[in-house]
Amino acid sequence: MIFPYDAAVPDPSRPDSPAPPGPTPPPATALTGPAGPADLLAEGTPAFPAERVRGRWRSLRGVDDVLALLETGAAGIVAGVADAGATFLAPILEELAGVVCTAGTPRSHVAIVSRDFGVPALMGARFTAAPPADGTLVELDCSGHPGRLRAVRDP
Amino acid sequence: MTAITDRARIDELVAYHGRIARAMTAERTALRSALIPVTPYILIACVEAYRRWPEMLEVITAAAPPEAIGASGRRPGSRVDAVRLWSLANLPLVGRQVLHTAGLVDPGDDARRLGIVLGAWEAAAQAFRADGHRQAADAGGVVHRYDPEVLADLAAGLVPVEDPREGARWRRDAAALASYAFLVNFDTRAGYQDSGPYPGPGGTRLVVRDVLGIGPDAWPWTARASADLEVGDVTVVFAHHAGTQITCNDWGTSQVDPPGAALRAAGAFRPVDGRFVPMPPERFATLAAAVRDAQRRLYREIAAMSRAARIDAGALVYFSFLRPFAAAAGVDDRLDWSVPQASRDLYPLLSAMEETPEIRADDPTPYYAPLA
Repeated sequence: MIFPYDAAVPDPSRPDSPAPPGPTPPPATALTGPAGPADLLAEGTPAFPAERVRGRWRSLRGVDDVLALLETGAAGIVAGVADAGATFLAPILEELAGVVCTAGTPRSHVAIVSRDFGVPALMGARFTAAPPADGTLVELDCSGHPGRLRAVRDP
Repeated sequence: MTAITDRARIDELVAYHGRIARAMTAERTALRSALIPVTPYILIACVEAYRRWPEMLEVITAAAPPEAIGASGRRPGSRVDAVRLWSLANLPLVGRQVLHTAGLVDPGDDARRLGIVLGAWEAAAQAFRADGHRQAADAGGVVHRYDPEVLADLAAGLVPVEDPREGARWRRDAAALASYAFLVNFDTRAGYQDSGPYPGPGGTRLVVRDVLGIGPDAWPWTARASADLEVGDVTVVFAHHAGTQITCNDWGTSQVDPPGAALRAAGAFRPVDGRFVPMPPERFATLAAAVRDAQRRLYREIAAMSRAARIDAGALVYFSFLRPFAAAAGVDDRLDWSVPQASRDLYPLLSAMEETPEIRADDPTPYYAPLA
């Protein structure tokens, strides 16, 4: 089976490319009020400069979480991870909309591979409060320093 | 025999490696993985390296001088590479540091053990680089392992990259191979490294990515996952525009500034009998697709392994960083590569560790303890 990478992965040369269709995500946390600093979830160091991407947040804590996405698809997911190794996300990394890692630096293994795949990754991320609930619509902005993760009101 | 006997010289090299290792580790950080117990296997393998590599190196260097072994790394397809040379010195030093913390270093034998390891490293590293330097850190972030004749073969096999999307596809396919190489080798750099920047055709700057040992015969755990891969060694070359800032370190990590800089050309090659042979782009794309499938299979296999099995597998990969040197000397099959052997006294403790303390670049304490 040819992996449909050219359909599933946002093309870095097309910053406005929409997130590809995927399985129906769980309901996101509804936001009220205008967007602003209160929606800031985390800051960190971008693995590389990248255009903003949006996706549904998913905290991945163990191998079973990755195996589940291997079955259902990881497109449109912004994954929250604690480990900066390259292997934990290996089979789904290319498909993800973005990665937020609470450890590591742009030289960490997951940052290296994310950069080559063109998947935005925020390294050494620090959350302003608890990470969002799974399914929350988030925006990962790695276009500047620091990089930022924000919650987004569902349209 | 290249063993160093001068204690002051040994201390000098210990401090030298400590400065560089600290800087590299602080820059990267984070040795944790939810899939693979990286910290335990590193510590176990490093203790094994300190306790076993000196004797193994005596066998290796009796069969071939370190200079010849290091120089063999300049041949396409060789696994004597920058990360294994870095590891030749640093894995025993890390193991020694673990033992030093536990009060288990024999001060009467420490200098001899380090003298063997560091003497072999220095001779091999200089011959590998052949530029008067010993490490990339000494040379401003340059790793030139290939001679102009090799680069000429690579340049002749490059294909123009016509638009950014094509460049992105090349990068993603190369990333698929790198990702799989990380998984095959349990998150170590054993399977892929970048070197360069090299001068390329038309003023371009080349990064050469060697992906070695991802085929079915690489490790016991690749027999099934990699069964469909027609090749186990692939080299990918990216030609960047002149003026692109590129550095490489001795872990095989390249930094390109600006990141995602447009490619002028790219190519895939196979090392065959010491030369690089071009691989048609469509064949490379097919291989990358097959690698993605193999990665999904291997991930499931590793996920099904017990924690102890993953630790032992990672330790085997790490301890085997010395193996290409033995192979280059023709004594690979005379040495015992199994682990654990010499770390059983500490194995229960080390296998339970989840992570190591964070490394600070400005820490004034020696990264590696000096001789007692």
